[in-house]
Amino acid sequence: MKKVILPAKGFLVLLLPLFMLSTMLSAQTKIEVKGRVTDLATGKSLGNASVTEVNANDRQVNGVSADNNGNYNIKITDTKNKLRFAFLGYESKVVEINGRTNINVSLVRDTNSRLDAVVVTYAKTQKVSNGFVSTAKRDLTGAVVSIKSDVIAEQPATSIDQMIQGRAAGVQVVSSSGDPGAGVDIRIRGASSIGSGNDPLYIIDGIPIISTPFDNTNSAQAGVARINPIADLNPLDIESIDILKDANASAIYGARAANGVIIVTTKRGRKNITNITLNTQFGLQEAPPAIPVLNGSQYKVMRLEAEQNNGNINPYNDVTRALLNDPTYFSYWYYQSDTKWLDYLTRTGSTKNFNLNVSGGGESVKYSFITSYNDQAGAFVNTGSKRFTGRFNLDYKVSDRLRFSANIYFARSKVNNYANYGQGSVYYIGLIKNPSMPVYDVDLTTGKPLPNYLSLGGIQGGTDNPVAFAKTVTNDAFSTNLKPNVRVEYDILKGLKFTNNTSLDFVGENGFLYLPSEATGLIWNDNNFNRIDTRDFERTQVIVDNLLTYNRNFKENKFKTVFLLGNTFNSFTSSQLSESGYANPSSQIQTLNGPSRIRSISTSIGYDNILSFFAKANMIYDDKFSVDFTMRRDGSSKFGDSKKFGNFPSVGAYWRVSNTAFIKKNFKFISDLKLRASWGQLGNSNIPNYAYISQYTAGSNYLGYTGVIQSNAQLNNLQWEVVEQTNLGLNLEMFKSRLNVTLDLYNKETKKLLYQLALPSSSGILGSNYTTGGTMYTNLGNIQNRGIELDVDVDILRPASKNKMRWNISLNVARNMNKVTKLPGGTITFTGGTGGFVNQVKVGDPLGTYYGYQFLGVYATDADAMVRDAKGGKVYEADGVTPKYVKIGSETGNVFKGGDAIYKDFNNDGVIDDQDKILIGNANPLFFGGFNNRIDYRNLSFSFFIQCQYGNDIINNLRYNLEKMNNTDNQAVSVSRRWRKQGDITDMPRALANDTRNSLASSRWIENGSYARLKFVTLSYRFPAQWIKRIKLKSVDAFITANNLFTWTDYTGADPEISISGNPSFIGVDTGLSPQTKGYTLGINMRF
Amino acid sequence: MNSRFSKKLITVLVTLLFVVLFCGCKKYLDLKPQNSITRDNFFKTKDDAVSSIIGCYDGLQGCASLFLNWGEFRADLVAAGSSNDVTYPYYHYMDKLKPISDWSPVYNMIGRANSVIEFVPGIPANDDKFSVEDSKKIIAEAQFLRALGYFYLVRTFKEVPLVLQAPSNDNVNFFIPKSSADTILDQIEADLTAAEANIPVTFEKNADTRGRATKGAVHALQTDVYLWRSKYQLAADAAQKVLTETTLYSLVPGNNWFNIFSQKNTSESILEVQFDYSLSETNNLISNTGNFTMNNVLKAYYDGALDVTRGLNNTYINGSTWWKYSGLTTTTLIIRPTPDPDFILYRLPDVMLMKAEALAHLGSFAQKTEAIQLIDAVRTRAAISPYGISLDGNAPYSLLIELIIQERAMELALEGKRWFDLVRVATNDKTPDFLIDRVVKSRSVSERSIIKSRIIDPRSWYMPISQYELNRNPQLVQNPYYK
Repeated sequence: MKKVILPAKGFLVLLLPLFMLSTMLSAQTKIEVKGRVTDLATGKSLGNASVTEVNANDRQVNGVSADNNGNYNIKITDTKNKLRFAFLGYESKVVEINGRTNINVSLVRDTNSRLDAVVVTYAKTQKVSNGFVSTAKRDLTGAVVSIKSDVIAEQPATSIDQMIQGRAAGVQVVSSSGDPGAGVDIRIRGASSIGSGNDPLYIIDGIPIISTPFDNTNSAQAGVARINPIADLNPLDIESIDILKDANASAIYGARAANGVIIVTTKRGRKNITNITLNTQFGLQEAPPAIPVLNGSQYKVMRLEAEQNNGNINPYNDVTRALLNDPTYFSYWYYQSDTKWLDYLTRTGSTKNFNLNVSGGGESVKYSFITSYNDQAGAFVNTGSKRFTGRFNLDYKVSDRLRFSANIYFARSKVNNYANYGQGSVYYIGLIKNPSMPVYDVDLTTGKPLPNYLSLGGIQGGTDNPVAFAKTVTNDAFSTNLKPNVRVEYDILKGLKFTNNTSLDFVGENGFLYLPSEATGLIWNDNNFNRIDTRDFERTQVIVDNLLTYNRNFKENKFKTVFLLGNTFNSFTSSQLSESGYANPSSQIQTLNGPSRIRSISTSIGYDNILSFFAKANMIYDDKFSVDFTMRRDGSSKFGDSKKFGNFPSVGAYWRVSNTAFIKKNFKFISDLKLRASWGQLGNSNIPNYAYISQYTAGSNYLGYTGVIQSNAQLNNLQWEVVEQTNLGLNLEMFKSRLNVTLDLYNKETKKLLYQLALPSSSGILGSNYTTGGTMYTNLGNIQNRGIELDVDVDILRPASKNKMRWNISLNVARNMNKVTKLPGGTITFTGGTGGFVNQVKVGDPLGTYYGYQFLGVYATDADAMVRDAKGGKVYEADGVTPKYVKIGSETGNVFKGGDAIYKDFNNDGVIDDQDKILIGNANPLFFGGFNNRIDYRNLSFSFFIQCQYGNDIINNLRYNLEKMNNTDNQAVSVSRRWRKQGDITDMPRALANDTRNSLASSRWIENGSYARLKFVTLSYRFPAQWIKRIKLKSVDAFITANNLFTWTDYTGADPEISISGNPSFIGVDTGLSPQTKGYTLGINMRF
Repeated sequence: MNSRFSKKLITVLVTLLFVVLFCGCKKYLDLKPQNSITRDNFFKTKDDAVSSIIGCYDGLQGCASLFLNWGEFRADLVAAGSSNDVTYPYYHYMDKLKPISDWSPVYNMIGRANSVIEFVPGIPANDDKFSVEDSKKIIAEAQFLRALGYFYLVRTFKEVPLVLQAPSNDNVNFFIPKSSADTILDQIEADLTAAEANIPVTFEKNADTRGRATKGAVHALQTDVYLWRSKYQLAADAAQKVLTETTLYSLVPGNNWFNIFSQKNTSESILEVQFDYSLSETNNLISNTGNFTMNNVLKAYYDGALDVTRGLNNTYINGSTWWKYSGLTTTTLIIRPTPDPDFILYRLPDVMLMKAEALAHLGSFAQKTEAIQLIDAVRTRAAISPYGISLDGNAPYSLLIELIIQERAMELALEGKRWFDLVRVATNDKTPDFLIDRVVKSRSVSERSIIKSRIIDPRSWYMPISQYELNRNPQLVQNPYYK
């Protein structure tokens, strides 16, 4: 398996033939032709014009580029051939050679120049594709953000999400962790669903792709590494990214577009421009910062205090014995170390990235070949990822009427992760692991170290030995991506075109985990001894689109129309095979074979089809007014007979105010002003296959007879979730497009929310465990997202010539207001949330609000814990003499004492209970955005990019785990200021084992999560052309980038940029996943 | 190719394509799961009926350890071990956030039984190999299991949602409020009466007769239910129906007393939940009971009666090992290698002593005499001195009930009976101290005041409803003591 991932060296060997091929082509030549290419009108030379040799069949056989002065030198293969001269924005010219060796050519400016189709310079001229049709950005009625291609070109991104992050107003992008190959959460205009997916739809070259990770919820292999399909895309394949935000823009994807659409266009070959680019990058990532934790002896003191405070004063108790320094204790030597666990687990990570792009083409054939190899070593030991990708895009013009194009993408990647098996991230375990225990085993009589790992879970460890796990456990995931697609276009009549688009998207993933006994310390009869988990998942998506497009302009182009009629077949297959075995005789054998015993084995297969019909009409009158109608009807196999189909209409319009005489006359500095409005509905069917069908499963046996039980209820009422969105927008360009402003206001309402409603267990429907209970998919409630988005782009300095300075800044900022507007019963409560927080979704609240106690400090003495009335007076028991003390939970609950946390008793009843819980946190930011700054001067360019988020709260669950002092976990050094004796005044409660009263969900764990982060600083240098010519290259650029260099924040955790959970009611919780770290990248881009 | 012709061809092809698409769409969107049976194809044949009732028993297996916990761990025969969660059973263990307050395994069984009761009657019309009589037998088993489940719930929580509809589709109301204890008990009686009419007396295999619901099991449960509701004559009558089945149910000789647990399905077993390691059916009774040490109260009973048949090396071996579940032999002390002891719901001495209790209540000289004879039958089997020598029908009720409950403790220790015995007597006789004194005395001196302050309120004898369940069901109200 490993062989497919080629090491860097092998990869370069693979590329060698390509280089040889290009040299061979030039070696065949016989005759040399020279000359100069100039502009016919001005006589100025046209630097870098392309000169190609074409044969009698108009096929390109050979080509070169002219130098900066327009001089060219081509070795031709056949004197009967012709030369074609081309330059951007000029009409190309074909000249017969006729034996000449010196040909000077002058080109004429092309008045119908399609400059925008070749090089994207400013947003104004950009074309935006919605996958089916391209529309000039100028003509859009919906809300669309495009990521500039120069941003894409120079940012050392290892995956596509890093390119989007912070670049578009209203698009929130957060990596799920700092680990290589980790997934990403993207929210376009807020979370609009509870638990049925908030991820946008990705369209690559017109084809929706599988972008969600494999559903692992039904597999017992949650610990096995996995790969996010999005991380498998090579970012350097990308030419441009368009983000469709409102209903009108994404309407054509109806059923799948409820969370917005991200359109990715990959690089294609261009006529007469041969391009060979090699990108090389090397990067380093700093080890994540360690939060200072107690050392071995401090830990034991704290733990002993915790036990004693809970009444455990028995010195012979197993728990306390390990904490007392008693050499007569059998396991004494296990608890005499001072291990800094995290130091063993972190390192400096590195990244290597190679990318080769060869593209070109002639009249009828254009091609682009891109291949890349990426190798990341994570900042934690034994974590990393490797990825090899290849893309081949081909366009073939068969005749004037028939066009054919094919895109083939292949990726193979490998990720290796820390296998936590539910104990938390390696970062978290490295912090909480008992520091008095050694990494390696010790001789219990002498205390001398032994060579093997100490693998002792149990009473004092709490967790397995993380170093042994990191170093000996194999936890790999391999994924294979294959995405071929073929498009045929046929012009039936003038303006009428038929398109067929057929594509396949295959994602296969193999996971492999091996838990050797060195790590687990288990013996042969345990069913985790030398355990192996393997998994083989496959997903396939087949899409067939049929489209009729009618595109006509009337009245001398004053009236432009586009009509579109189409349908789509979308079928998904997903199959899973997972096995788990144990009892391999030796760690040398890491596969399931003869001696292994089976723990479990399971397979499953699922199918899911969507059938859609759609129609679209777009009309533009005189560049002033435009209307756009879309209607889509989707049928999904996920709903019952009467609910299969949903209709999703949308309408959009604009008015170009700048084309009115009034503006033209009075506000000449306004180059463009467009007002937009749109409305539409989109659908969401993101629920498991067959959820509506009542199913019965076998295997519930008794007395040897086979039993069959119902696994879920029939859901005939289940139907499409509908997202209805209204958008008002404005595009403004001033001062010859030097200042571009885009402003959008939206109101997005999700109705008939698809929700996996927890059912009371009295229903008889059993859940996987009693805290979550059984569930049923249902449509309930509404969620509203309202917001405002602003994008500003300014050329502060726009140079007249190349040698002057260019300075561009762009800024985006968005505010999204999320609110649950309807829920049956008013509230859905989830218990068992992080840090004991009772998370709830309540009408009127945004998703991600937190309720809890108000933490007021620590009782200095037992007497301070007396109940107070509303005026602060002391309260006594019924006898009037006995002081009444505050209790937890109920009148019979535990009594608060000195050193315990003070929670505000709002109703002064002396009991801290649910009635004292108030709203203490909101994970939704007031605003978030990005600020990009770029300065070009001669060969140098400097840019930096700041991402920020303001006004959100984070539940610092990592700090909760490092300060709660109620179990065997090691704690942060901040607990050194804890309360120890009567009268101590501090804000850190006492250590108290097995009692949660001091760590209840309270304002103590809520922190301000606002931050601004310098995501990138890049300095790049383009080597002067005269140097480059000597080494026969077209251009060489070098850059150095620093990532995450500074972060301005008050947040005390490792990283304020925390994952937005898949479940939006749990967003804003810092669970201690691997933080994003500082990194430095050096890169060189060479064009041959 | 002629361009006009090709134009036409393309138009025709495109039209044809769209027509084909529209016609095929119904089938295209109609997909069925590959990994399971759909409801549409289930409850069609005899096999479906049988496998659905087996599914109910599978649910019963899931209830076994919960039934034991509810019936034993709050009472005085055990003391909590060192495990963190169970230091103070009244405070930490019996908590609304702890698994013990989770009733879902019981409702899961009830839900499956509801499906059988609702859908099996329709099968005979579909399958001519399955007669209406056959279907009634299976339905009777489901009715018994539903009654059994509710009886545990009503004794543990007092008021619970009374769900009688199968959870078959989303038109069913899943959010049911609590019903009163009497409503639930009435339903239990009705189910048992219905089951009694159709349920088999025996099955082909002995293990099935002891492991599935039979007429004997129905009568045993009826005895328990009537006793709980102070319907003493009905209780005595129901018990008598079991006692007359002498060929089916007879006491195991005293020297084989331990075989009741180690060998399973003995002649005195009326209903025991079956577990078999070789069929991957296991439970946590061994480790669960291991959290609790034997209380000196029970040890004093055995020592006082010089009981060697049931005491040391039989019911227990040392402070913390409950030998009934973890042992295979008594003298050589061989441990059960696999976690699959059966959980006995009813066996003959239980019914005999329940009948004695009913008779003691009914109170005539003859009835009390018979009660003493029943107690003595249990004692004689255990080779300890009978009471009949010194007592007769003139003995006061208060003495008889003491003796009966003590005998139940010695015979049925750790079979999940004790707590319900104490609650039943204390409630029916209006003698709360019968429970309070016993429980308080069984605790260490330092714990007594805190325990007493709590159980002095009879509302605390019922468990809190799980917080998780309250969160999921807005119709549900926490039990009064825990509000």
